[in-house]
Amino acid sequence: MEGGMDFLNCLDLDMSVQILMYLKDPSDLVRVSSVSRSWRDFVIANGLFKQLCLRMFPQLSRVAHVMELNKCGAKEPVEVGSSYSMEWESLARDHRVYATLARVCTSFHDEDCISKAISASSTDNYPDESCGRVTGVDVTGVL
Amino acid sequence: MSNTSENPNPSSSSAKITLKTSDNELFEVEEAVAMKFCTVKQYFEDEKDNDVAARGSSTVIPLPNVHSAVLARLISYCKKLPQSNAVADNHEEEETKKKERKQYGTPGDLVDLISAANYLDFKEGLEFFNQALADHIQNKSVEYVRKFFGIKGDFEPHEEEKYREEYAWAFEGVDED
Repeated sequence: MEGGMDFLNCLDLDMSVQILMYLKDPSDLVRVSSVSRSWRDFVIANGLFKQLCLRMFPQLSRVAHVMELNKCGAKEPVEVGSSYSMEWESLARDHRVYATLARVCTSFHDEDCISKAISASSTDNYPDESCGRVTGVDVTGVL
Repeated sequence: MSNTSENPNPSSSSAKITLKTSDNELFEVEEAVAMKFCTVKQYFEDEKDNDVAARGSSTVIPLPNVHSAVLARLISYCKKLPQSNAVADNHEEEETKKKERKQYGTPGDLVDLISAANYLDFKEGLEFFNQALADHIQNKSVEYVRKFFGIKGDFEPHEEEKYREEYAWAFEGVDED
């Protein structure tokens, strides 16, 4: 394609974030993160996976802290390093954790028979309305 | 770029507002269209002079951040806007909209339109063009995105491979391009 233009470089930060928030499927954000280093850094620095998760599953806003168990046991907090690298490390960890969480949450309800029933009756507009569906599953489970 | 062609419906009763672009082109647009641009609307409110009909076309509103080519496209998009946005979103309609969005070509064009819509505080336009840009990412392969936006992949091959293994689920079932 002629005349390519890296919009993340050309538009201001808020606008770029706003555009990437139009992506409603976690797999889109994963692929964005593998376009180039600067794109991945952009996704990490702005916590876009976390934002996506919170939009899909507002209940997650109660999550106060995340940690990765599979990375060399309890690897945190990172002991050394400047506050900058610690902050970055924590953003990068959020990125990985929320990416996986988004995947788990969206694939879970696809395989779940209750959610299938709910999705069949409510919408074919996947994944725009997946939030409502998962909420539905949660509520059903509690009842 | 001729501005007279921007006015296919010269109804004498509707007020006109004159907009001046960064390249000094003058656009005479209907009030209803101009008021979609909140920045323009605000201009009149700030003047505490809402009587646009009386002095609208005699006032020239400068838009130093908008080029005439971009403004012309925004105005023509504006005129195509449905009167009501309260239409039910069904699949077919979404497909039509998607096709419509596809007409707005290159990333450069889209970036210009988005910047201008943002500057003019033109909400429907901003939403439309943001989505038009996002369409070129949504369900597209990494290769397509790189090509479309002119970006060079700068990961080491082994890094890229590792990432694709780790997140294999995200690389399946993307659109063929």
